[in-house]
Amino acid sequence: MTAYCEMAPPVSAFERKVAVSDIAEMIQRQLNESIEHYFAPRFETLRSEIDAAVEESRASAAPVDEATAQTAFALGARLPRSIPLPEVSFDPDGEMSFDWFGPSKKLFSVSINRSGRLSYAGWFREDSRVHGTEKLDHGFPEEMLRALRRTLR
Amino acid sequence: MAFLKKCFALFAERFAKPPATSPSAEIEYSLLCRYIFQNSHFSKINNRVKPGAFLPSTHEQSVSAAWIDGLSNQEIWGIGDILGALRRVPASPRARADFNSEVLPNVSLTIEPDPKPHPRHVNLSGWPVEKDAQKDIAQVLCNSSALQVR
Repeated sequence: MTAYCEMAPPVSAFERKVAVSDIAEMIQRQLNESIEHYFAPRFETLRSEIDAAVEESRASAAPVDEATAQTAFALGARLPRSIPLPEVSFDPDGEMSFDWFGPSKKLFSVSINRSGRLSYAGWFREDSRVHGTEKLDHGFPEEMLRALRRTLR
Repeated sequence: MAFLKKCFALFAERFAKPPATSPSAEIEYSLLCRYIFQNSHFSKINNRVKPGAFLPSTHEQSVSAAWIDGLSNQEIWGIGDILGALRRVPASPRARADFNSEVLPNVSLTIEPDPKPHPRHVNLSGWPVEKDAQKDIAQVLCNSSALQVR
């Protein structure tokens, strides 16, 4: 019997400090470095997309500020490896937006503000939509992840 | 005599209609477009409009649009250039989202004429205050729109 264990988002590895001995600390440090190396290309792409959206927002009435960009990056870094990176844009109120397009006109979008408030909406069919708010915490919010997976199927 | 009556009826009908020179209450428009001024507000890869293109600004709580019935492509972009010149940072539209006004009652939005910048200019009003509810409406409008890239 085999089971699939999805790669845990790297942020949780960075945040949890449970090593209690020198050897344990060394192992944890090496684990973090390996994970960081594995995710480096993905993080670079995400950072580049966010920077481009921030730059474009400078012409708007409410440009995206650095704190919002950092929070957006933190959310993107929590995405499971199996989820493609979003298309990044900005909202008229200065929040950052992550958008995913799926088959049959499905669409999922989440807006992030500097305090970590996540406002999301998903369109699956004409008679099937969801929307709500979450708070950025340690992992990617489960409710949003479910909606996101439904969008991409 | 019957022939004369027919001619008279035709002439009476012809001169009773007001000339259609500008939008008025008598003229029924149905096609709207939302001009898009940022590249990141539409997806070239997926050929789709993004929700950010339809979200209202914080201060105005309304979204600018224009009636495009009966206009050529060039005329439609021309209106976009006029409206774009009035922005805080003047710009030309990069794309637009064309949609039918019949979708608006489904999301509780109303059309308010605003002919000051252009006779065909309108504001879409009635947006909820909550951001997630705004995004929900924006997504319905996205999926009801046809993206036209300039």
